[in-house]
Amino acid sequence: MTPTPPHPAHSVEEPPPFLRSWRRVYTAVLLYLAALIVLFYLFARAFAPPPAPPHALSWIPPRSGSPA
Amino acid sequence: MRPLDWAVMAAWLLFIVSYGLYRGRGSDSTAKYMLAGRSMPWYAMGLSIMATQASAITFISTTGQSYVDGMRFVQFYFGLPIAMVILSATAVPLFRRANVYTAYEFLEKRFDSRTRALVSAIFLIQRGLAAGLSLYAPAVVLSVILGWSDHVTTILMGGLVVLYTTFGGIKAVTWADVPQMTLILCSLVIALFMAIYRLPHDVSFPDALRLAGAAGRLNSVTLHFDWNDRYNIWSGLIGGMFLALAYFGCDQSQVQRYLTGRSLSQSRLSLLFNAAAKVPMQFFILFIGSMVFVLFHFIQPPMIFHPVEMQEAQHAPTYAGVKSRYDAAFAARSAAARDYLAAARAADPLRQASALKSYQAAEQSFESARGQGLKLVGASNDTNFIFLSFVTRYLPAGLVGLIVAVIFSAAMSSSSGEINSLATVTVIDLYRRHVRQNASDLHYLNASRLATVFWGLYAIGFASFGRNFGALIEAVNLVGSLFYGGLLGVFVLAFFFKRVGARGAFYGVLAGEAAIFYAAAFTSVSFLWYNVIGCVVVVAAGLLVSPLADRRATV
Repeated sequence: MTPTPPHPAHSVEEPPPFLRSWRRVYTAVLLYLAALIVLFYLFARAFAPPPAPPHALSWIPPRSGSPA
Repeated sequence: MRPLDWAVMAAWLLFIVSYGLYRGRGSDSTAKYMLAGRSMPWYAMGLSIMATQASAITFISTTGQSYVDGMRFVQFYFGLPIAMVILSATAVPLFRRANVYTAYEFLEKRFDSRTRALVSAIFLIQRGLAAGLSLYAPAVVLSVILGWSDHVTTILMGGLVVLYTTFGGIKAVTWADVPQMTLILCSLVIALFMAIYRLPHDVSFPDALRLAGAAGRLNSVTLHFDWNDRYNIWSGLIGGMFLALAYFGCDQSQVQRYLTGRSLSQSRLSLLFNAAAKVPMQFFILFIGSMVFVLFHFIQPPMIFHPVEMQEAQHAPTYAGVKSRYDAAFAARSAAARDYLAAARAADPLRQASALKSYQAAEQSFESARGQGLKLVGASNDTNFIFLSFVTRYLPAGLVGLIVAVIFSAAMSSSSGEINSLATVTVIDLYRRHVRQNASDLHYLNASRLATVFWGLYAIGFASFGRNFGALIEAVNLVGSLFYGGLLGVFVLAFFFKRVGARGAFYGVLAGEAAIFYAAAFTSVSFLWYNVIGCVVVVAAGLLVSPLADRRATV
C-alpha cells in the first residue's frame, strides 16, 4: 500500500494565540522589523565618532577652481 | 583543551545522540519517519529551522566577519522576517492542505511529473553539495583546534548524525536540534559576557562601544544603494527577502520542518518565531565579533589566528622582523585607542578629531603588520579562527569544551536536517514516483533509512576528500545561489498564477536558470540579486510560454 501522509486534521484556519487575527500578527512582525532597523541605525549613530569641527579640517587644501 | 573541556565535549555529544535516539523512537511508518506524525509543537520546529540554517561555519565565521568588517552583514537578514510573513500567509496553508511529504510533490499536483522531477533534481544537486560542505568546513576548523586529523572530526560528526537520523527520522532531528540550538544561544551570551568581562578596568562597556564605532565595527545599517555591494539595507530587504523566500519556501530541508507541525497555527508560529528571533540573533553574534575586536586592542592577539599556520610562520627567515613590527604596531594601536577614549570622555571635539585620526592610522598600520604576518605562510584570510582563538585562549576550563561542543552541535544540526530532507526527496519524489510505485509502507520506510545512510556516507565522503577539491569548495558556495531563483519562480507560478500550465512552468524554470547563469558569468551583480533575477524571469517566461505551449498540448 502506498503511504500517504497523516491527514492534516488541523489544516483549517484557526486564530493565533495572541492578537486575535493572523493579519494583526503579520503587521506586528513587520513593525517589529522596522523598529529593529531603526534601533540598529540609532545604535550605530550613537557610538560613531562625531563629525570633525570645521576648523579641525583647516589643513585640507582648498580644491582648485573652488570659490574662495 | 584541558581535561574538563574534553569531558564537557564528550558528555554533550553523548547526550545529543542519546536524546535524538530517545526522542526518535516509535518512528515506525513513513508518516512518522518523514513528518513526525504531524505532532511537533511550534518551538521545536522553530528552533530546528533556526538550527538547520545556522551551520557551524556561519556561527564561526560571522563573528570573524564582524571582527574584520563590522556588523553590516546583519542587513543580509533584513528580508527574512518579510519572507516569513509571506510564507506563513501563502505557502504554509497550501502545503499543509495539499497533504504532501515534500514541496516538490505539490508541483506535480499543480503542474506535472516532469516539473516535479526537474525541481527535485535541482534540489538534490544543490543540497547534496551543500551537505558535504556543511560537514567539511567545521571539520577542518575543529581538526585544527583539537589537533586531530580532519578525517577524524568528519567521521565523528558524520557518524553521530547518521546514527540518530537513520533510526529516529525527522523526530530525532527536530528534537535533537532543540537542546543544540538552546546551547548555541546560551554559549553566545557567555562568550559576549566574557569578551566584555576581560576588558581592562579602565575601559568601560560604553568605551568599548565608542572604540568599535570609531573603527567602523558597529556599521549595521548602510543606506547607500549599490548593485555590486552585497550588504546594504536595499540588497538585504529585497535580495535577502527573495533568498529567504526561496530557502524557507522551496528548500525541502526547511519545508519539511514546518510540515511536521501539529496544526497550521503551530507551523505558522514556527516561522514567525524565526522572523522575530533571527535578526536580533545575527546582530548579537556580530556584536560578539566587534567586542572581541575591541578586547584585542588591550590583550595582544596572535599575529596569525590559525594556530598551525602561526607555528609554521615561526620558521620563516623574516619572522623576527615581521613579529617585532607587529608587536610595535599593537602597542601603538593600544596607546592610540586609549588616547581616543580619553578624548571622547573629555567631550572635546577638536581633541577627539585629532585622536581619531591617530587611532585610525594606528589601526591601519596594525592591520598592515598582521597582513605581513599572514604573507609569511602564504595565507590571506584567517577569519574562521578569530572567534575560536578568543575562546581557547581566554575562556575558563569547561567553557572551552562547551563552545567546541557548540561548533559540533551547529554542524550536526545542519547536516542532520540536510541528510534527512535529501533522503525524503530521494524516496518520495524519485523512488516512489518513478521506480516502485505500489510497495508497502514498511518498504518505503526501509528505503528511507537506506537513503539516509547513503546521503550520510556521501556527505562524509565529500567532506573527507574536500581538501583535494580546492576551488570546487568555493564553487559549491556559488552553486547554491545559482538555483534558488529558479526554484522560487516555479513556486510563485504554482501559488499565484492559476492560468500557467505545466509546460509554461517547465520552460520558465529553464529560462530562469539560464538568466541566473548569464548574470553570474557575464555581470558583476552581487549574488543576492540572482534570486530576484531568476524568480522574475521564471514568472515572465512562464506567463509568455504557457498560453502557446500549454494550449498546444491540450489541443
